Amino acid sequence: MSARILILDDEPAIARVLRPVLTATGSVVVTAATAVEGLKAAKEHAVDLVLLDLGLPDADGKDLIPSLRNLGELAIIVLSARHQEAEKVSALDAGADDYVDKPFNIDVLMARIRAAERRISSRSPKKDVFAGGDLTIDYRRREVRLMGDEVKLSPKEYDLLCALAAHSGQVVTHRHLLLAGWGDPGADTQYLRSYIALLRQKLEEDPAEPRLLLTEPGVGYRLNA
Amino acid sequence: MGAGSIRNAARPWREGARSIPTGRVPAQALAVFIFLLATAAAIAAQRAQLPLTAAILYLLGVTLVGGLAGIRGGLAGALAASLIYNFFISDPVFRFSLVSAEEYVPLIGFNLSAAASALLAGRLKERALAAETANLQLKALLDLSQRLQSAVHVDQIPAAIQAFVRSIGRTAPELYVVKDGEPVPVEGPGKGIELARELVASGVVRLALADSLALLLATGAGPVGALVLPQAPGSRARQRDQDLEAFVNVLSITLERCLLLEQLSEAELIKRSEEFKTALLSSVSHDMRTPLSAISASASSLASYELPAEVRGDLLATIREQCERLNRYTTNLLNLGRLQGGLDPKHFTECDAFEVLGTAISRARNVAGERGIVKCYRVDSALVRADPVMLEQVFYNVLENAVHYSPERSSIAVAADVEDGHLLIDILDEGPGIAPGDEERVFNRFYRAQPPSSHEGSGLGLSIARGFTEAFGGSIAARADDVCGGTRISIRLPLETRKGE
Repeated sequence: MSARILILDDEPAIARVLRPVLTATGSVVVTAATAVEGLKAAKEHAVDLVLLDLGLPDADGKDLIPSLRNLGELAIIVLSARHQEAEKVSALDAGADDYVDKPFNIDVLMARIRAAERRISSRSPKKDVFAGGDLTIDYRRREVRLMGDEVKLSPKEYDLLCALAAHSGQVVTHRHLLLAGWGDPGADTQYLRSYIALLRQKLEEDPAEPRLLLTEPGVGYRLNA
Repeated sequence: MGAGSIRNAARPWREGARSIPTGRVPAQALAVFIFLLATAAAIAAQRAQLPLTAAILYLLGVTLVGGLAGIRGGLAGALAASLIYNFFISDPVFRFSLVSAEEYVPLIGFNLSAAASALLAGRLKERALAAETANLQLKALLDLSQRLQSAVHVDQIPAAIQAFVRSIGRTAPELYVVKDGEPVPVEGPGKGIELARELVASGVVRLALADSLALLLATGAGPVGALVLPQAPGSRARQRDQDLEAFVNVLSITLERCLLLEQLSEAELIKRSEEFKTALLSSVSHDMRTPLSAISASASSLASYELPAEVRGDLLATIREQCERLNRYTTNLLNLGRLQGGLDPKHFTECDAFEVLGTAISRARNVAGERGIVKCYRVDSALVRADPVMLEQVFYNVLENAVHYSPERSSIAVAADVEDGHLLIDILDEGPGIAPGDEERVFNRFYRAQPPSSHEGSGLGLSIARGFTEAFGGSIAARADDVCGGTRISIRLPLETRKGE
């Protein structure tokens, strides 16, 4: 990992704690405490990834997402509080890649950062195969394998799994999945629930307590492969 | 101005009596019929050479007509009768003459008896009408006092007096409550506020204007309110002084009672909220300080001493655990705030309770240590209407409670079933159970079982679980399990019924 990471949070303790860990993993860390400073820093340092706090003193972090996106290929991970589901969803819909609840566990944050970086680096050359944990997807042959055994999926199940795999390790909103599976972001989430349940039946050891297809209550689903 | 207005207000009473239907038209027709019959009978009697019978028959007829048709009709009948008698019946026939006593005595006799009977009948009728009206007014008053007696809130009063107000020919009563000497409308804009203000300021009991009546509502303690009664369009105001007085008395007492009740509940509310704040503060300071001191001690030890790797690992683990504890606690406080602020069902969505339950169980496994969480579901999918994050908190809080109150290496069972339109989720632990009588108290804020177990909870978890569950239209109850003696917490949530399914 040698990414340039911008920590955009008005709480200095967050930057103080994160800087040594991120630097130790080879990243370059830039910090900013306001929206104005943050945009400037992101431009000047051509950062790859932004850790964005939604509650900035001079702006709503959410409103900053489109401007950050315009700067080029970069990942945005929102730092949010639990119980702000509506905020999270609108930040994700505005173009954020993922979110982490505050207070966060450093391991979780690092995993999310890795997932975001993986997605960015894999974006350009279209891969033929997805491999994560026990799960492999052969895109050319439309073949899904779990621990080497082939799993038969219906076309819709396959589409949903691919949408999740394209953002492996990251949350994918209900809206996004409905668009991927039904071409309509406003479709009934009941359909989505049913198909996720079917996928879990086929891929999970215990579908009642999934480890692969995780539910993010009120937000979406996450493929934890 | 006051006294004149009262007289003015009281006067329409007699007119009010008239509006009660009396069946006058058939009575008049009957009077005409009797008149004609008497005329015919008198003529026949005269022909039969019975002049005395003729006169008596005619007198009888006229008396009856007077009784039936009232004073005007009676007199007209009597006049007509005397003319006919004079002209057609008495000698000389076909000629008017008022010379002899034979000729003018019938005229006077007929008219006097008709007038007397009409007056008597009229008095009788009026008495009956008055009795009937008084009865109606009494019933309205009785009904009113019954309605007012059941009122506990000022808002209920206008509806309760509506019927009575209409019975006295008024409409849309405007009720004012006197606060700091100023009348404040109970509902609506208070169009008659000027009138109410004048009333309260002057202390006059009753003010009657051309289009509205204002009444001061006062008790021994002074004015409590005012009532402005606009006249109903198209009807004339009518009320008796004594009814109005009774009305004002009952209303004043009710208003005072409602206001006192309000003050009482306000005081109660303030007291409870103060108690709550005190409890919250003492709990916060205790629950925050304990993990903070552990963190502070561990961090300073790590900074100041060269410690063996094993000890350092322990201290670091302590810091992490205590941070999690602080986080749990702040989350609960936040949830408490949301509950206090009231939850808006508009933000609830349809969600699969089992999906949420699975997430909560996964999270609970992280804190369960060596306790096993066993699922025994009879259904594996159930739609409920809830906020998914809050629902997860409900399940998690109950699971966490089970973890904290049960020994290591015991198991926690999660059972699920569906029963008459409800999802039932039971979470059963192998802990010490609940002392009899404590089944409700465990849901109280800051309640912690005695003796305190090794765990350091906030005493908020189950209280929040109950608050959220009830917000979703469900219920939650705790009891000691009959078989294993542990605690069984049962969550009951109404199943979402989809339209068209």
